[in-house]
Amino acid sequence: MYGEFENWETATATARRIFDPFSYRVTLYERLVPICLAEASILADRYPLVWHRNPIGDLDLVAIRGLDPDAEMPGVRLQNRTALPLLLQAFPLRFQSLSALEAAPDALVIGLDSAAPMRERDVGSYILAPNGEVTPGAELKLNALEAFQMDVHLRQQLTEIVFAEEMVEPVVLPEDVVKKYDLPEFYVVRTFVDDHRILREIAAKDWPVVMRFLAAQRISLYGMARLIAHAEGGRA
Amino acid sequence: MIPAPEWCATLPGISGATTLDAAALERWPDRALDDRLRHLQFCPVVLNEIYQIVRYLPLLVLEGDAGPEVMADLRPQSLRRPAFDANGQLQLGYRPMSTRLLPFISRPNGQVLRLIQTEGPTGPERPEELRQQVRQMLMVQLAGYQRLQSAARLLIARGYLVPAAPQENAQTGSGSAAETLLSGREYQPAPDIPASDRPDAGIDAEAGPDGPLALRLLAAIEFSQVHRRQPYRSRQPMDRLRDRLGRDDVLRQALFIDGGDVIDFSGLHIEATD
Repeated sequence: MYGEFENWETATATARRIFDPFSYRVTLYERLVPICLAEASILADRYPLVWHRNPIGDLDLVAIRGLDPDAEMPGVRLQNRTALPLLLQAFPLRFQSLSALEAAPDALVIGLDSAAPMRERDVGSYILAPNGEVTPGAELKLNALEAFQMDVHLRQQLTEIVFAEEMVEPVVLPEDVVKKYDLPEFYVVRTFVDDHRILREIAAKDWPVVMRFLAAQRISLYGMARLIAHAEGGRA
Repeated sequence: MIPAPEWCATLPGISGATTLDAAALERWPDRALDDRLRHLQFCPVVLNEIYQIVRYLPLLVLEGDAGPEVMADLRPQSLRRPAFDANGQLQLGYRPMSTRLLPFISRPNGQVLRLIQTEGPTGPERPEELRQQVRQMLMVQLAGYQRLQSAARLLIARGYLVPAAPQENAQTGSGSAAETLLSGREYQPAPDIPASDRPDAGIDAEAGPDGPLALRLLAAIEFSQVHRRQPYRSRQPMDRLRDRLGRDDVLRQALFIDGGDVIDFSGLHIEATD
């Protein structure tokens, strides 16, 4: 999803401008976007929420926004900015590395993605105002990044637990769909799983977030058929 | 004969119910009550269909005669998009299980019943396997209702579900029998209270085997509220993102300070002075 990373100092020193999420290609075309646990309930209505292995081999929790890599994501132009996954709301602001996020969240480095906007719908905004304060547009994006990393520990813990105890299963999709769109393997927590096995290693105060996520994942899977229908209908 | 359960009471042409016995399972017509489903105000929800139902209908927790019951709200005034079209056909992508087994019903209090219809065809005699199948489905349904009832009880006991506050812009004067029926017996998700302020204990290992299910049910109830025309009253409006952050000033966190070397001290020597 991300291209080259530009650090904060360079970006602000060269007076880079940032634009709303819908100006960038990723928002319109990126199929798999990493998500955090807290936003799952909001996204479950639209996108299946699954795990998959990224190119490094780590397990990423992502929203599947569409199947066809060459077509725009279904319904994206009609969406509210706040209905987008947090990492897209934040774009082009980004963390330097999402895997570093999980290893040592205190070593956060935030900067910009080098991607230029696809089409500039307005003049955009600078990152810093003349007096050195962060502009409102940039602050919104920083808020989105911070919200994303807030439950990273829990996200990592949950992923480890469900994969270690083999409580996940692959999502079964029609073979021709998988071939046609070159889809990787997706994993979800099993339908009938013993929740106590998951929760016994998690602090009680985090139980509501985890259970909300597990319910959201179940709810979200019923949306897979809609994505397939949309992709197939588009190519008809 | 016993009175029909509350959720069936609005169906026309029903005079009551009987306990399910061999005679009641002999024959039944296909699609017995399909043409009258639009008279339903709400219908019970089975555990296994919860995740599908919440994509279409808001969940409603109602105090019944034997404890709280989890229902799907079908009232046209509750929904953004009516569940039934002008011809009385269900226009959702999913049909609740409880409507599919009519005139047979099970209830969380253990009753397994058949509704008595005052008119209509009696239908063909049914083979034994089919009767067994229906009986089994009703028992599974009953177990599902009971599990949801325990989960709802736990949520109420721990303060996650509270009696529903009357809606602010409620249409006054339209008091149909159904409206007054439900007022005072509906529960809503408690408005967001930080865990530390919560008077009852949260759900933890002490809450017993239904704890995780209760939390799943709560998540489903909250998710399904999006289908309501008028949301339940919440304590105060909260901006979603701020709500998640819980902090008011991201700048104080100084997240964007680069860890790299801004000033390079490696060449600096401190000479000892004599």
